Amino acid sequence: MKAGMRAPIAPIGWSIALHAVLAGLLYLGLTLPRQEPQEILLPIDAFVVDDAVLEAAGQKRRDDERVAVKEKRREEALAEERRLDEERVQKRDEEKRQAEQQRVEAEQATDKKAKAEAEAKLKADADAKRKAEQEVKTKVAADKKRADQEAKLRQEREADLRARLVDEETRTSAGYQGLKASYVRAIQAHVEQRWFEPPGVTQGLSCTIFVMQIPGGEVVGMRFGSCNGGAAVRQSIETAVRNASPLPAPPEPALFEREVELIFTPKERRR
Amino acid sequence: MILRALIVLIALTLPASQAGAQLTVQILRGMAESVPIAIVPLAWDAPGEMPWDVSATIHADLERSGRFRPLARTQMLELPRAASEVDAADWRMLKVDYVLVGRLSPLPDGRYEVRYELVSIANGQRLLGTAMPADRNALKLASHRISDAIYEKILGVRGAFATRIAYVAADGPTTKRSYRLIVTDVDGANERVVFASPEPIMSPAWSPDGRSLAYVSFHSGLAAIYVQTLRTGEQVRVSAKSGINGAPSFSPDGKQLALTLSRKDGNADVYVLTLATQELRRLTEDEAIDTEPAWAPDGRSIYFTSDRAGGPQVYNVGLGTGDRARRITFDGSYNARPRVSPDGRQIAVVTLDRGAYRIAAIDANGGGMRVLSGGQLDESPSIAPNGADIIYTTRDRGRDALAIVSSDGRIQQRISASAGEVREPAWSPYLN
Repeated sequence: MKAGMRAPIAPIGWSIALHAVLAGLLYLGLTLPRQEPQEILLPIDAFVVDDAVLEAAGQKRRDDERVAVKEKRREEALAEERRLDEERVQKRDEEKRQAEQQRVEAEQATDKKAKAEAEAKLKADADAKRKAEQEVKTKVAADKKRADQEAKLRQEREADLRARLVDEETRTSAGYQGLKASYVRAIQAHVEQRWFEPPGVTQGLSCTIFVMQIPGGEVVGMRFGSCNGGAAVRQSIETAVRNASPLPAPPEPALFEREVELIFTPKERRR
Repeated sequence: MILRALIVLIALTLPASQAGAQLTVQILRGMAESVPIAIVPLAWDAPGEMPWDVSATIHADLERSGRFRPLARTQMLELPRAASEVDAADWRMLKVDYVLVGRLSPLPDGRYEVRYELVSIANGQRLLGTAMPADRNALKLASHRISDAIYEKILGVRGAFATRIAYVAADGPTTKRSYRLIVTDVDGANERVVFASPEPIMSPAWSPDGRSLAYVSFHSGLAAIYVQTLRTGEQVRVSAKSGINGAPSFSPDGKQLALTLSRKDGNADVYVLTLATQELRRLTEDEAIDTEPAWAPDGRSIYFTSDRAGGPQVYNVGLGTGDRARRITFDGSYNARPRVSPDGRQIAVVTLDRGAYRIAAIDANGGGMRVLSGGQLDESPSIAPNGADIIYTTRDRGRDALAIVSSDGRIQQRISASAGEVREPAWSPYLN
């Protein structure tokens, strides 16, 4: 409560103090002494003629002569300087002219060269352009050809791949395996019926012959693999295979194999 | 560029992977019964008749062997005279595998020349190409030799068409029997009597050179073993011991004879007789009957029949000192009369098979018995020098016949029939 009473009194105190200070300052300004302007005394310019004056005149003449000589020399120096300047200018001009001429000549030479070069370039450019056009044409043709070939190959490859995938699917199926077994049995019976087994010389025989067939079963080639049989046994096998052509057709076209491996391993006869 | 290389690479690897997926087929037996062949009549350019139909002889030989099926002449579309004239396509159409062509021409010296070529239709190869000179009366033998060569080229073993058979024939009523030792060509031709007697003749055996026969004859009243030279007819008595003198068998070198003797004790045992010295060596000493010796081809041991175990079985005894006989056959109650194949690996025997006596083959160690013949009373097997066939006698409803069976049993044939008895055929060695 006490503090609240004091707060409004402080600004009023400050205001009274400020007014007092301002009033004091105003009084002082009015009462300060003024500084009065002082009088300035100038020296007087006057001379006296006497010997000294004459002497001074002679001196003045000599001085004048000196001055003239000085002036003359100064002028001469100036002329010399001007001449030198002129010479410099002339020289500079000459240099400038020569430079200009050189420049012009150089420029002319450059122009000529440039022109020749330009002409050559133009020609070269034309040639290059023609050549480039030709190349482009050739390249386009080659690219097209290659692209065509690749596309054809790719198509064939894809078709082949598709066929083989289908083939693979078929191959792994149980039905296919059964068909394959019956195909193998058909070939076995077909060849066995046509093989005259030379008596007495086929004991322990193991003879492999690779038979190449084409669709339709026609035998187009054969070659012996490992074979421990003599000439007559080989002859009998070759004849049997030849007579077995055409080989039986597969029950399913996918079963066809170009190469058939026939292994002649007769079981010993027991009656 | 790389792409193209890649494509090429893939293209190259593809067929290889496909080749891996090939079919594999096992061929376990040959079912073809015989080889189709065409024996084209030999060309004959000289005037007059051909002195001998060589082609017909070859045709008959091959047909008789059972392993060939010669094409009838009337079915031939053409008669090529040389391999170069053989049109494979035509013969293939006729389902012929081999073609024999050639010609017969007279030589300035009065002999003849047979030129012949054998062509394989399967591959066009010329398998044979030979010129053979022959006397007029040797043309038949030349024909058999050509058959031998064809047989060997196609079947892998030499043919035995130029060999002979010796056998014993007995005719006449029991009170007046007549016995003959006969030798014929294997095709039944050229039959001739080597020795005849009113007393029994038994067990003919060929010498290894084919020039002599050993046999048992009772013509002196008692059993004795004789060796007779065929060309001269000279007969030499080599064994006339008391008791049994039987079952002679030549050693492979022809210098010794294995035989059965009973001597004084009356018990049949196997002995070896050295012909030049008459030195006798006893091989078996057993109270049982030991008989029917047969030499192994290596000359180191002898197979024989013995009933020491009760019934007849085949045994083998080495010729070294102290070698003991060991039994070979164990299949069945009766195995007798062993004959060894030329390679020493097979033995032909008579076996009792389901109540019938039949010819069987066994391995030399006694295993793997195969019954080959199908008669009721088949006896006396003898193996051809090429090992391919076995000749034996078969009796059917009182008639005897010589029969041949292939060593694998596939081919069986009777080659002669007789009103009387036909006994103990012996197949000759190769006759060169």
